[in-house]
Amino acid sequence: MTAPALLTCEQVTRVLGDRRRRTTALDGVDLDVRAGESLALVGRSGSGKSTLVGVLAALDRPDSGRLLLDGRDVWSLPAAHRRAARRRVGLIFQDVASSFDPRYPVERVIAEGLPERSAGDVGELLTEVGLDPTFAPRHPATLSGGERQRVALARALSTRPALLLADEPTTGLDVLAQHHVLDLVARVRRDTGLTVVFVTHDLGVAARMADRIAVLADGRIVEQLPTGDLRHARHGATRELLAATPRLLPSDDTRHPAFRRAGSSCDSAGPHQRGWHSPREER
Amino acid sequence: MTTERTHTTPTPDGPALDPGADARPGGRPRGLLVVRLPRPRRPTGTIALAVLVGMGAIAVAAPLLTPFDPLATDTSATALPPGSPDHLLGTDLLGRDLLTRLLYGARTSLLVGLVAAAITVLAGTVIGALAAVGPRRLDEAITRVADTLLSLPLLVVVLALSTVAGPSLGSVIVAIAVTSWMPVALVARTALRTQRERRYVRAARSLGLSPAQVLGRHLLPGAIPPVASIAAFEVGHAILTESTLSFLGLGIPPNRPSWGNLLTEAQSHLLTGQWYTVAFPAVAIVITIVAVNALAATLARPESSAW
Amino acid sequence: MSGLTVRGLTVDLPGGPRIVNGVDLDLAAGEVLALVGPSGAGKSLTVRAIARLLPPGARVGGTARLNDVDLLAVDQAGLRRLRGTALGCMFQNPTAGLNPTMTVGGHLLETLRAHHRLPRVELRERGLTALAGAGLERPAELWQAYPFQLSGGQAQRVALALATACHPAVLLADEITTELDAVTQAQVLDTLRAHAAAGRSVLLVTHDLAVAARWADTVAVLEAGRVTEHGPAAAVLHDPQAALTRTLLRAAQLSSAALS
Repeated sequence: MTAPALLTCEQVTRVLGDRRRRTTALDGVDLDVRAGESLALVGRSGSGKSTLVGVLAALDRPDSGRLLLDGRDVWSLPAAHRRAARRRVGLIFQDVASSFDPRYPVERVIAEGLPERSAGDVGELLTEVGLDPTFAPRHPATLSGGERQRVALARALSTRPALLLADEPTTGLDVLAQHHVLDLVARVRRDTGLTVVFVTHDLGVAARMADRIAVLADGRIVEQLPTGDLRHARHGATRELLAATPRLLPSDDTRHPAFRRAGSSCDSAGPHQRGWHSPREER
Repeated sequence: MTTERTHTTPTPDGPALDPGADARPGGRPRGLLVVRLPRPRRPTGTIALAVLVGMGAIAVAAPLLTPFDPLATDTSATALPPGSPDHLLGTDLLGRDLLTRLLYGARTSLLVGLVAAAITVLAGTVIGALAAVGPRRLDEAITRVADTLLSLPLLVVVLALSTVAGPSLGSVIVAIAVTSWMPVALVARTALRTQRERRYVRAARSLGLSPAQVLGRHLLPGAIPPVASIAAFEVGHAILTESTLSFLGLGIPPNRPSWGNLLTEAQSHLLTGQWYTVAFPAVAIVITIVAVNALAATLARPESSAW
Repeated sequence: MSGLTVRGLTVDLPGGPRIVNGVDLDLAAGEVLALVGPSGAGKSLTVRAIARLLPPGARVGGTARLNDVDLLAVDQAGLRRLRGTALGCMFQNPTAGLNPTMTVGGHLLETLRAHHRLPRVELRERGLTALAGAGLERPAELWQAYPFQLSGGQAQRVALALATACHPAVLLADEITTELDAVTQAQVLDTLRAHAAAGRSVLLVTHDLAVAARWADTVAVLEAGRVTEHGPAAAVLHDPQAALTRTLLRAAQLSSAALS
């Protein structure tokens, strides 16, 4: 018996751009996030991942379709209730540095979501993410990438969310820092039973952290499967990602024949891939 | 290193999503406004501020600094040059002590300047904020009005308003405010709109902050440096406009000295060789404007270093 | 074409710290060497030192010999000749290195013109060949594109075309796929390998050990400004000698193993 769905996207569509150029970033996304699970949303650049993050966090309204949190349509709620819904989703942004107001020190950043700002709460959160409480008065600009990531995690946890949404949490970090961050999130999840959704283009990270993987391509979820079944993935987008992801051990590295093809290999020009397309190709 | 934490997994009905549940941890964040006034860091700014504060102090203390009445005439002491005993800056053709008139004039001019500028900046900031965070139609309407008013020659409008309202302290202040709010509004609008695009504003929204809280904690503080800068400029502008109006006889009536109407009266003194009746109020105006502009320049640099 | 030999490279940043502290590297023709290590170890500085692209005030020591020429000792005129014809560079953010007001074609012409006195038609031909060699389809159409119109992968390929337009013997690539997704990364690196197969030496800086495992022949591990391990990729990555290498591998292993 599967756990109840905590967060659900029902036929979510979102179109970006102005009158002159519109792109359908999300094209009818159906997704269930079950309570307590660890889900990875994987896709290439341009697949709609970032847009989906905005929708899941209840920050951006879908042009059609619904976002249900605990069974309730978030966008039909009064504004104050929707804000309460946002607090149930803790969000870590892709570019962590720019998600901090440069005027404020770490303690203000973390405490922003807390109802009563107390030094004790901030200190507790810092400890939870493995930072010494002496980090509190420092400014995020003086911290390393990994430390900033932890502060972002502490802030996301400050509202005691039911779900943690991490947008590309490992981008820009080196191997060791990535490992520490992922390790930390795994530990928080073990200790608190928090539901976690990773959004990433790195299948290795997804495989390591998630029980279940949902693959996004051209604004749609094209495949969902348990992590253990990855090698049996059927959809082309999944197989393409799988083949392209390098492994450490040669025995695991099955190079997809497509990458040994003779002649040029340019970026695949899917309908939603950004990039230069010759004017003749304009759809 | 685990801490004891009660984490409530949601029941099938879901926990109440109403904002009144402040008692639980994870309730609504409180606190609205965090405003940090930028302090000038550079020596120029500090000097400028000191000069202005000094002038203000002297103006306020005018009755204590001089025994004379600015309006009292003294036929026995007319046209005395600066440096005369009892009359540091000399007297005019009517025997009125020039130092006294300068000090009392400072009171009026600085008062009008500050009050007019305060109203201008307040009105301009509110209007700019409405344009920045309000509905699109309102934004378009406000910018259109502001742009139209900006294209009018302001002095003409001010003169017209003053003529209609009659010369008085109040009408001067209103005329200045009505014709000067536009740059402030546009600066405030741009500054707030820029702030709104920042990712940390999105982060604040994701934490469940209300638009008012986001405005107070992130948008306004970021907008303060440019608005403070233009506010300082507006003070200078108000003082200068008042002086111009008073000089033309449309500002402060002569029953109250102001630097502007001191200049009006001084016109007739130039022919008799009393250049100092013009020099002193003129220099006072110049010093004030320079100090104000220097302060505005240093306020334009944000206090905290960004990324 | 012969390769690159670096001996005793040191880099002191303006204001003090010695970040690169005696680096030795050997790069043969046709070899892809991956320079790996944690951030702050000095990988990027090493590359920039070899390319003489350090901030003013930085002091460099040691030698970097390419075809019997010491890149670090050559004068400005010699350096201008070497850039492009002996040494090509690519960096993490390709768009940052491109002039936003110049088309792709404009960039290529500028680079080619600096080294070859040929009629424009001939230069354009070479430019188009370079674009095709970087794996871009329909180079003639891409010729008119502006940098902001390019996707991440396309921009990096344009950077590759620019770096190889004058057929340099050595290519320096600093974290060129860090901002690309896995599929694009694979495509760009496959193209890079093809250039190596044609005889170029490639120095690939990366923090991703799996990238090194798949695309590099040899691996050098940089720790606190020194090379602590250097050998064939298979050997270094499966039987590491240095402690840091083992730590890095353990961390990277978790993702790789999860995919198996």
